[in-house]
Amino acid sequence: MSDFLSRRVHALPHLGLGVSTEYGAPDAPGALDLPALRAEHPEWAAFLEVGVETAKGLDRHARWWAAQGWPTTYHFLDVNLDEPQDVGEPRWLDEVRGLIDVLKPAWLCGDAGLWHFGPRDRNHMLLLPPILTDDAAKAMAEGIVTLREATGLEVMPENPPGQVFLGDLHLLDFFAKVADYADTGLLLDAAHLAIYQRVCGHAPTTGLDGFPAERVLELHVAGATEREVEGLPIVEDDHTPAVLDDTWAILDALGPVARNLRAVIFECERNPLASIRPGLERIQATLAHTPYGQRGAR
Amino acid sequence: MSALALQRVVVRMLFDEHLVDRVYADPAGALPEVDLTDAERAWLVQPDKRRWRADPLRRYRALQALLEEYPVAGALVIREAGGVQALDAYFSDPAFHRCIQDRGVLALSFGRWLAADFTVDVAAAARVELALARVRRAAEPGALPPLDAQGTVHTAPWIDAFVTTQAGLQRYLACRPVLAQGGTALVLDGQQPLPPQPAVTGTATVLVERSAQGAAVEESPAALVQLLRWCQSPRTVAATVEWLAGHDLDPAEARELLGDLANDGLLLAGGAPTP
Repeated sequence: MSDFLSRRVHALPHLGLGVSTEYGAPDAPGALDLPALRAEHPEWAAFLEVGVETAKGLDRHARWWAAQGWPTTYHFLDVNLDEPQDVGEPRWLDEVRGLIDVLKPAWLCGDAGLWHFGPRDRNHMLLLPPILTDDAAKAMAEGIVTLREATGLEVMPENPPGQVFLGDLHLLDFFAKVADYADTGLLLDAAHLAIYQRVCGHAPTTGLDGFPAERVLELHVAGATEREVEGLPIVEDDHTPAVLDDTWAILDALGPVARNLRAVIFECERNPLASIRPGLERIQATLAHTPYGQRGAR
Repeated sequence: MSALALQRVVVRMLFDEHLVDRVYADPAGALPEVDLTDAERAWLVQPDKRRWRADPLRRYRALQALLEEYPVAGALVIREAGGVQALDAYFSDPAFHRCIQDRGVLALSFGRWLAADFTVDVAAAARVELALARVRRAAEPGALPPLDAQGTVHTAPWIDAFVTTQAGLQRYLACRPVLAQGGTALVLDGQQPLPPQPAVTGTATVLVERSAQGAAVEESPAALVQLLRWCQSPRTVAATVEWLAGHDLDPAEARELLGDLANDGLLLAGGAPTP
């Protein structure tokens, strides 16, 4: 019996639909104006997901949002959950706790992959998916438990993007195992999943039938760009407003069955409001009659 | 083998298409230094080979970041020792691959490679910039323990001391302010001249120290640099006093000197060594 599903999940708030940010993103030309979005459409900015590298800290926009007392989630950008010496590094954990004190996030989340090779260092940053094996899932789960115990907050691992995926498990089976071993919720990034399915030659929703959708607490939707490398079509996860049909298909399939879904992010931080409006409206409409939409209506 | 080790191979292949070629040509024989199962070797060649090259700017971005820490050595290589291609070759060099596979620090590996593989001037500049990269990454100093006559001493991690050529050091010191004004763009601009090598000879003994004000590079007395180099591995106080006796210091003076250096944060005092 899962302690998370039977007990802990019920203590987590329903956050609704929100947007994401990371250090300096709102200062980019044409970036999303967070205060304007919150003022004009509070239902689209119900919470802010703050991408954090502890070495950079929080920019003035994230600090301003937190100072209003508005809801946040903490999206880590700098920890390899499957490396015990990385997730357990005392100085990093102290920095995370300090930032949690400022943001007061509902939970932690972030791509469960390789955020940096070698020790945490400014020249080592990248993001790669994990090796999709049972051993790697166990190591990832141990890191999630370590971080959960060190911060007192739930930790939702997210499926990362990538062009090269190795291992003998389907990505969704890998994250099902991670969730089971760590007894945790999940953040499912529909855009990242769409990329994975294309890389592997699968249909967008392949593997969702056996996936524990009740563990999905948070969903990400984002645009992507299709381009070619030496004639090979690839998809780049670049957070444009143009969401792939594959990503919408995943949202359509997951919405009705993700009965514990509490938060949805449209990742569009570097785009103006006018360009992201259709995406936000479609997310709202797609999820309106799902358990998530009904909980939000209450 | 662990997934972590396989993941490091993935990183190496994403940076180095020559390695990709070798692995695809000979999955069983490539990567003899890594303990891979047959299944794992098969996984490595399963993706369309072009996927490993999906990010063609990966090496360039990494090099640019490294040049922020090695502006002078990098600029000298670009102008006088093979151009940007010579620097880019690092990402196919065994030094790079060892660094990734062994969970090393890229900036330190790059600095050691620069110091070993190019001209005398590049080596001198790289040695200074390697010292800066080292002390920059040292843990914050806590309370400094006093010297224990029965204990050990070792050079503090925020200190690096070394010997280089006087000409190389002077050229580094002349180039640094010029490049600091132009940033990475100037480092990469091989057409912009740099100050020439000054007409000096001999060796320089150099101390690089990080303090609250930042990291400083200065010439120091040879005897001090020698002592700090001797103490780069932990030494017992007794052995260090004996070593100083060989440099004409009597035991009382030697213990007083070690105490002063420990108080000043150049040496770190430790407890008695484990038998």
